[in-house]
Amino acid sequence: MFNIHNISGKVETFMTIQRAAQAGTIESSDILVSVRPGTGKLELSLTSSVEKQFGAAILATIREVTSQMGVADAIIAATDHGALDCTIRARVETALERASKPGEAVS
Amino acid sequence: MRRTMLFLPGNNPNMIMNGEYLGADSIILDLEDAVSPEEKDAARKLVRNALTYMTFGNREVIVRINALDTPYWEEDLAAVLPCKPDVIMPPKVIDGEYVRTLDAKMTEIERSHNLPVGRIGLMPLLETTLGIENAFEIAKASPAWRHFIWGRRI
Repeated sequence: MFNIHNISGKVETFMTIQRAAQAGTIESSDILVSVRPGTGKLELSLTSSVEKQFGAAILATIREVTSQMGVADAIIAATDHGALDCTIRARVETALERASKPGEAVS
Repeated sequence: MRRTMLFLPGNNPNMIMNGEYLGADSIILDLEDAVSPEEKDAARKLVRNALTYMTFGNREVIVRINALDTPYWEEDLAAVLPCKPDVIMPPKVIDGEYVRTLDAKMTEIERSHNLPVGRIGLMPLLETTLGIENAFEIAKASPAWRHFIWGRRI
């Protein structure tokens, strides 16, 4: 995690993804979020049992949490089984925090 | 009225989501025994978000934190207190010093978030014979401003 003063003087916080990590489960009402270091951009993929109806909303939530945490370079794969918005937010935040800590990759 | 109290594992969104509909008077979101050590961080965030975004009807909402002899309890409190649960349930309370240490930390977090000090209650779990022997001391250690409820697991 590091801070940068942008052109308007505002401090922006960035989080660096250092290793592969994941959070959540593949159980009902949960979402498994896997994160690994990116290739210079943010790449998202989603598999969901409710993708037709909620796919866009789930991806928007993942993007929002990722942006709030200052992550712009990562590969994120999510497998959803009907998780609520608050669950998605918690799992993405946990996966990103775990991936930002140095250590052994979690497969 | 506190006739029935339902423990819900803090890292299980399915059970947390359905907890409201099972008719218990109190819902206990558990960060302690129901959560493995490697999932403490995930459970803490899930419980925090559940408290923030979900309503549990008119149920009393309690959070069981990890014991003071673990490295988790301070992060537990920092995560959940700003979400204003009704009660914090500390496990394995053994003496008055335990309650004083916990209350001091809760007060510090409440003040830093401009929350009224003492509105979030304490329900110490006495789970050992030492805790039972020190029950009077534990009760006396509870500050006057803190809503204090007994929990016993012996």
